[in-house]
Amino acid sequence: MTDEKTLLYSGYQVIPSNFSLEAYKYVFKNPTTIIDAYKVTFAFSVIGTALSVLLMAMLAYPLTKKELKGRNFVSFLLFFTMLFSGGLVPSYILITRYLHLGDTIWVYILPSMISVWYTFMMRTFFNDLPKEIFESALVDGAGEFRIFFRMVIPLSKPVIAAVALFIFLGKWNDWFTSLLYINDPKLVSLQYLLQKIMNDIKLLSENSGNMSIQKDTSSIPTESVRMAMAIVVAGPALLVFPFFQKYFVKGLTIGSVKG
Amino acid sequence: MKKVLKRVMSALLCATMLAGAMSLCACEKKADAETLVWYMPADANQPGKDAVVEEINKITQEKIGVNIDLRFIDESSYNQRLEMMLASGEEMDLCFIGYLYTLQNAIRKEALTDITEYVKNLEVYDTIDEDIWKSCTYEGKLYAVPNIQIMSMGTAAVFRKDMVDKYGLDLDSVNSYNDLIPFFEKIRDNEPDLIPERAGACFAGEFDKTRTYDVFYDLVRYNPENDKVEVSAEMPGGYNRAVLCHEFYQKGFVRKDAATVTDDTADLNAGRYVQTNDASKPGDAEERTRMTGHEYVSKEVVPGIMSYNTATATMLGVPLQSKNPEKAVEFINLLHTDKDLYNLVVFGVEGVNYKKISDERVERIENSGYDMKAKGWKFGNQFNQYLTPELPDGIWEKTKEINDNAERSEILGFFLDDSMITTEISQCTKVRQEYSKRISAGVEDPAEYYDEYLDKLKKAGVYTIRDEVQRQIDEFKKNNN
Repeated sequence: MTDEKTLLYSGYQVIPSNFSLEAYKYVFKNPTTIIDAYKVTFAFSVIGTALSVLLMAMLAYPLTKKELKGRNFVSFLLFFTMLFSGGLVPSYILITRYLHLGDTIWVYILPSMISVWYTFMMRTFFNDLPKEIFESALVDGAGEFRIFFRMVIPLSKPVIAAVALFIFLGKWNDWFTSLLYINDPKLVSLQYLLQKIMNDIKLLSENSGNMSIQKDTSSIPTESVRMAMAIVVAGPALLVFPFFQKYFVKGLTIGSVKG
Repeated sequence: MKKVLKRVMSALLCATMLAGAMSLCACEKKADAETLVWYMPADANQPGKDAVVEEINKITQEKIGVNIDLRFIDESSYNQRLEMMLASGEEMDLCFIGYLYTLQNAIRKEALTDITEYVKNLEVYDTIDEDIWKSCTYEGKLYAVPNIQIMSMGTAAVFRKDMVDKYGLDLDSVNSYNDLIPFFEKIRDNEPDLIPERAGACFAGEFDKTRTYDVFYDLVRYNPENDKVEVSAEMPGGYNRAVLCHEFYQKGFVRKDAATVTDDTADLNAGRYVQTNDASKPGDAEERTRMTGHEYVSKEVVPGIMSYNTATATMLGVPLQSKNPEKAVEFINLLHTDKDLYNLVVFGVEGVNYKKISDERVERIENSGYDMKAKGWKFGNQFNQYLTPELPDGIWEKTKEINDNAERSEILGFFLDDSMITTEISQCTKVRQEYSKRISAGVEDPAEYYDEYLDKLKKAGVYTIRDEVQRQIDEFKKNNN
């Protein structure tokens, strides 16, 4: 909220001595990039979170059923991917050359849809739900899907809210996917725009010993613009947090207390 | 309510699956063999690029019968992206190789095609200096074509012109940073809003000549006078510079918080420093003028030398996965020799992205959707570039003259194989980064910490690096004489 000159000469102040909205005007002067990034980030965060939570719950719930054969083997398969992952280059090859997800919005959603960690967290929670309710529902004639959607999910709101919040924040803050897989400037995420500024600065200072490159500092936004962008980008995530908060406290302790 | 939610959810799921399947088909656009995919580091957000590429294709279709698919990657992501693309064999025919992804690195990973045969038959081979070719050749083979730009850059001190005029500094009589002390004192006392010098932008002695020596990882330098590789920090210039920085700090010439400030580009862009450093070349002061909006003048403080680093800093290479390396090299040749094509890539379409003022001068149109920021040095032959308003007349002729007359490093063509010393390099680099900040901030007296610095470097294995570089250079010289 301070103008650039005051910022440079007297630093940050709690109450701005020289109020100015110039930086925000600059950010919104050419807003297509930010608006595009907003749309993309919002879309993949919401769709991604919804799909993730749904699929993970549907994966975790059967694993709590004692009568399911081979559930230990499935658990082991999941657990195995937690310990050993393919590595960056093989996953890059898989995603771009075989799945052809490069430069699509799906690259944000599909590869990271199932997180084993959160699946196990949900399984633990489902395990603690009283089996008797489900059995009585079964007696009353409800199918497994009905039990799942009408009973398990409403009973598990805390864990679902917690997992959804974690995933949503994770997706909202995702910049690495943009860096690796996205070529189309219309499809980059918001955080990538911020990260790009940071990386540009790092690149300049790393190359400062290399005199054969001419350093163009003019492409780096001024201090006040950077701060304005940080606010613009962080905003929605801040709004989401209180919304989830009432479930959040309970959700955090999931899995920590046994018995 | 619940039922509705359930229906919405399943509908959503179906829709996403369907859309997913559809988008999978959509991106299956295989480029044919007649299209060359060319990756460049530049701002990726350029809506006007397609129109420019269309124009480029008109020229390339006519001259060499191929289409170009030009793709930009943001500079800061270029290294990681290229690494991935080279490793995964993604479709690519041309890519920028240089300071963002070094030639050494690319060769060590065997990521580039040997293009020696193709290059030698083309016009571009004769337009580039023999010594430059020599410095890009590895084991007798060429893997990338260097861009033509300034090949010998020293270091220049740039000053804000209004201050130089106001306090009567005679730049010609300045022979070392000590000569600047009276000037800096006047600025310190009379210009409270300005800072005389950017922290660390000074060298000791009569503009330390050792800085022209070939440098490896900013740790060791090859001294051609006694044919020895020496540790930079142990050279006299190293310690003396630390002393000078400390002196300047005590005199109040640099900012007090230099030790903790991590990024001062905002101050730099606002022209808050009266003196800072730049790469020395024709037009350097004008470039800074463009960036800051204040007029600058420059003085060369370290002469340039044509070294391995400068010649390989900007090149175009043909990756191993290219299906058509011959055409790719022909396109590089065209970039070097066809002035219209070159300027099309630099500035875009005439009338849309830039206006022509005279035969050689152009003015860019702001926000026209295509802007390489006039960074013509990223490819081809910069001497063909139109002049933007801030560049002085005859700048390319002057640059060419500097290139032709530049002193050449004795070890031009030497490639360091650092696979044996990677651990030492990363350890020493950490130590160097920690101390170089302390040195340039100048808060502490170097007498107290400089021995500690050298000691830590030694423990991190700087002598191992020195001996290995020396061994390889000796071998290189033996084989070349």
